[in-house]
Order: sequence, then C-alpha cells, then structure tokens
Amino acid sequence: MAPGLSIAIAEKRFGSAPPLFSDFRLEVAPGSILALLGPSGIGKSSLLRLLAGIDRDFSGTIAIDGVAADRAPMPGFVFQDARLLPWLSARDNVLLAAPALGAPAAKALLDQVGLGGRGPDFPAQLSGGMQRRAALARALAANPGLLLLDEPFVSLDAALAAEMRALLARLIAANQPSMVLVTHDAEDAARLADRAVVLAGRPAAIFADLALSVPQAERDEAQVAEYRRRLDALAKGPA
Amino acid sequence: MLSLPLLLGFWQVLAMLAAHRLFPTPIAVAEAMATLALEGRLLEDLGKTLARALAGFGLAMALGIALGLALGRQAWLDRLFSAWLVVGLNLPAIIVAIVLFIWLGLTETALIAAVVINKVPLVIVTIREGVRSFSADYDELARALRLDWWTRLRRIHWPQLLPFMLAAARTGLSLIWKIVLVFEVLGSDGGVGYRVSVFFQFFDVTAILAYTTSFILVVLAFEYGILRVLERRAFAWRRA
Repeated sequence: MAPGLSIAIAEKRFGSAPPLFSDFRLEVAPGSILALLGPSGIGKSSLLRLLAGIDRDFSGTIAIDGVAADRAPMPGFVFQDARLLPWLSARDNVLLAAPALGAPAAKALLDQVGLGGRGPDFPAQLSGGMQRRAALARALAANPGLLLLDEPFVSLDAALAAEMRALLARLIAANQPSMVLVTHDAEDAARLADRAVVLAGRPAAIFADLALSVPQAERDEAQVAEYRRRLDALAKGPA
Repeated sequence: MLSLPLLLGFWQVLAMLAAHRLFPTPIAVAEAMATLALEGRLLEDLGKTLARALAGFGLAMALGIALGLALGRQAWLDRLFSAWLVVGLNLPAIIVAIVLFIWLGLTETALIAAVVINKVPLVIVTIREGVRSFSADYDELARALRLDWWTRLRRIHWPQLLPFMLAAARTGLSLIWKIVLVFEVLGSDGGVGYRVSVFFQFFDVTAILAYTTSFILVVLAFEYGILRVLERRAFAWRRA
C-alpha cells in the first residue's frame, strides 16, 4: 500500500550555516509521484535523506502514513550514483536490502530491470547503465510502498536516461508506490511525476507547486513538452 | 622461478671452488637438513618456533585489530594513545625482551608477551588507517538499507578492512619470524633460534644453513600456501 507523507520541519541546518529548512511543510498524498525541483544546494537531496531516515538531525516531524520516518517501513532509496558494493555480486547487492527475499526472487527482480543472467557478476563487470538498473532493483527488493530517488539519471547520456525513465515508468505502473523524485531536469518530472514542487530560497520554501494532471501513461510528446516548458520556467525560481 | 636454480648452481660452484668447511655446498646443506630432520631435532625446533610465532601473531592481531578499530572510530581515544603508539612503534624489541625475561623469567609467557608487545603497535596503526579510510558513502548506504550492526560489519566494514588486515598480517609475520628467533637466542629451551645459537658455538655453518633453509621454506609455505590463497579468494572481485 502506497503511503502518504506529512513533512513538518521546524528547522534543519548544517553546523553554523543558515538553516536549510525553517518551518517547512509539505503533504504528499498516497500513491503520488512527486518531483522535487530547484537549484543545486537548495536542499532537495537533504530533504530526501530526512525522508529516508538516513539523517535524523533535525527538529520537527516527518511522518510516513502517520509513523515517524525512521520507524516507518524502509523506503526504497536510489542514490545519484549506483552505490553498489563492489565486492558483492549484483544479486547479493539486491539481497543486501532484503536478505529474506531469496536468490530466485532476486533473480526475478534483476530480470525485471533487464539484468537477467547478470546476477553473479560483480559491479565492475557491468556497464554504468546496468549498475544503475541493479541499484533500482535493490531499491525495489523490499517491495517498498515508498520510493525515494535522488537524481537517478544524472550523468547518464540522453539515450540511457530515456531508457531508465521508461524502465522506471514501467516499474511504477507495476508496483504502484508513492514516490519522491529529486531532479534538476524538468524532463524527468514531465515524463514521470503527477506533481512537481519547486524549491527556492534559503531557508528553502515552496516556490511553485504544480499538478501534472494528465495521467503519466496518457501523456503524448506534446503534453510532455508543455509540462517541461512550464517546469523549466518555474525552475528558474523567483525573478 | 629461474633465479632459484641459478642461485643454487652458483652457490654449488663457488662452494666447490672454495672447498672449505665454513662454506658448505647446497647439496651438503640439503643432506644436513635430511639428517637433522630424521635424526636430530629440526622438526621439533621448527614446531616450537612456529607455535611461538603463531601464538604471538594471533594475540597481536586480535589485540591490534580491536584497539585499531577503537582508535579509528573514537578520535578522543586516538588522541589519548597516539603518543604511546609512537613509543611502541619505536621501542627496541631487544629491550622489551630483556625486561620481560628479567621480570617473568626465561618462560614461554615472557617470550610470547615480548613478541606481542613488539607487534601490536604496527597492527593498531595499520587497522586505524583502514578504519579511517572507510567510505562515508557506504555508511550512508547502510543507513538507507537499515542494516543491523552485524550485517554492517560483515558486508560493509569487513571487506574494506580486509586489505589492511592482510597488510598487517604480512608485515606482522615478517617481523615476528625475525624477533622470535632473536628472543629464542636470548632465552629459551629450544626452537630454531636457540639451536642456531648452539651450532654457532661450534661454527657448524652447515647445520646453521640447514636450519635457516628449513625456516625459509616454512615462511614461504605460509606466504604462498596461506596468505596468497586467502588474498586471491578475498579479492576475486578486483580481478573481475
């Protein structure tokens, strides 16, 4: 069951720097695919880490279906880099997230992301795109209701990024999770999200909150281009 | 591998030309090895030295790994003990042995304790550097996957520490082989070092070289039979 998110950060800061978030609130409906956009350093990735419970050093509350983020069921997390452990095979990297899954189910997951037969290979034996797909399989291993993705297509070439977007769209359709996608690329949001939030300022605040109301599966290229144009304009932030 | 028969051939020719009892041929040394093994105490002495070296090595590695982990993880502990670590690294091995022999007598305990005290600082420093080099990214991954401490240790930290542990084991063994022999010369009732010191009284170079060669064979067996095999298995992913 895809959970809803309720974010109320009283303050988050790093050391003596000005706060990254102050009195920041955001609600995400169950099953929503939310894209978080904004300039570099605005706090998108930091917010994702707070949602995942990786960083617990903040004041306020983040609840996933009413449960504090660090006690809620583990979300699937995809880092900017594949971050596979080089000493484990692709299959064991997937099993690291869900040891009880078992080898056949891990293989099925790798099949699902197009890595059938590559389970025994070490990450160094996989191409960059394959490593990203293995990381996606790892994020899905525990069958999470919530997926958190931190710029998952960054530094991929255009063709590979398009392939990964299509794969992610298929996985979303198959698994129906809630998802928060941090990206700097309006294309990602225009193709995958049903809501886009643009952050701006310091402390970060919601500058724009746009509903992408045409269902993802029904968007044609013209609709995607229109969403991208609007998001590109918003992503420039306040004048 | 060609260098070994070349060296033996060169040694044989040189010894035949010198034709002196203080410069035996390799064939004479090999014969002495066989005789000392079958009729003498070569195997018993090798066993004693090996047992001492392994006891000292095991204790030093266990202590050194535990302390290295603690110092690598806790900055205040590192600050507290870093000066002592420098002292330990530079303390002459012979002084440690002499003091322990005086305090504890010419006992196995004194000998092994001296080995451990000499070896531990080197292991601590190596492991501490290993801990300091742990990847923050992998720690973050462990938090994202909510791994328990045992899985973190086994899957995240242990593989990162392994190269440092093998380095500590290799440098440690090379140091321990040498100091065990010196300490056996100083005070023990058997072992390679003790027996070589006895042969020295009689200027029996053939027996000394027979013991030395046997000892070198044991060291090589450790390096190629155990350490390199472990290394190959542990780092199979690097060759992938």
